[in-house]
Amino acid sequence: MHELSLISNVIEAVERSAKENCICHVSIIKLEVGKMTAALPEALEFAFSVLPKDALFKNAKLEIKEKEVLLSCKDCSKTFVPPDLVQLFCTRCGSRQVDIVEGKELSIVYFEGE
Amino acid sequence: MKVVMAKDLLKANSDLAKRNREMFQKARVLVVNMISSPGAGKTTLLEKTIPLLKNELSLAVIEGDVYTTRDAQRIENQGVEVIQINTSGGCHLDANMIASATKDLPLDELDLLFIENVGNLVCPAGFDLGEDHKVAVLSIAEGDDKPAKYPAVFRDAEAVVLNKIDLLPYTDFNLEEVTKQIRDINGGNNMFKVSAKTGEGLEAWLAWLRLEANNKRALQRG
Repeated sequence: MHELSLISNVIEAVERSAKENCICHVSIIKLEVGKMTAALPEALEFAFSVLPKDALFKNAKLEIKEKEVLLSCKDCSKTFVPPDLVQLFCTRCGSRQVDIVEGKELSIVYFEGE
Repeated sequence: MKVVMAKDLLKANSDLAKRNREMFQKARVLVVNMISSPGAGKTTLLEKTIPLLKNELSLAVIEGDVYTTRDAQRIENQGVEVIQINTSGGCHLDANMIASATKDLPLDELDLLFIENVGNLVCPAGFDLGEDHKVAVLSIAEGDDKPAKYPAVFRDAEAVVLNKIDLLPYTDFNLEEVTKQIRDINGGNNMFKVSAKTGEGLEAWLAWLRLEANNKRALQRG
């Protein structure tokens, strides 16, 4: 639901970095989106397509890679991908004491341009 | 040319939340982030909770709303300090908004600070504010499938308040089913069945808040 504000942060950050690196045309922005961020790839794409952008982004495309959730059990130390995201418990010992290691990030991995 | 950024956009919020948490720790104030759908009764629950606690605990409320100061006015009528945050369309509160709002609060003098998040069962779950506990409020009228459908909010909630239990006779809400879902998702250690309107069940909720606020006070003293 907050995909618009997330994408405007992406645009700002890439714009700043492009200026620093003397890039006038961005072609690809690669994002990595954790499956626990409640940010939908389709909604991110849509937000990117409708938000007003600098000429810098005229031919820019978003590439989004979804990132699996990775949990670590506090009781038996197993690190694993949960079978579903509704009930989080250890697939080895059944403990509910799990840390979310990955899956809550929304990162700009890199962008390409010239 | 490829520019590697490896920039986590949500990290800025986590960093600020961490700073808020340290600030609340230093002030020894219990901070409770109330999350629910619109209309679940967060404001009514606070309206009923405040008069029953304000003689023993020093309270304040941060009110998050998309627009209007309606809820803040209702809380103000209870005679406690309230700071309104209008997100102007934003679907959740973030740690930066809380950092700004707390500048106007005498944190050192407070025992318990409620943050009433924007009514929304999805986005607020993703934004740590630096609170001690998230509390999910679910009302009977919303239906008994909500914990399973919106697990993120319930998973992170230290306590769940089931509100409007006075409506149970008029709905097909299955209390057992919802209790099971909440147990499966977060262990269900602190579940309070209340009617903010009639006052039923509020005592256990108040006892939990008292205990948590006192624990927070004691934690730093030792």
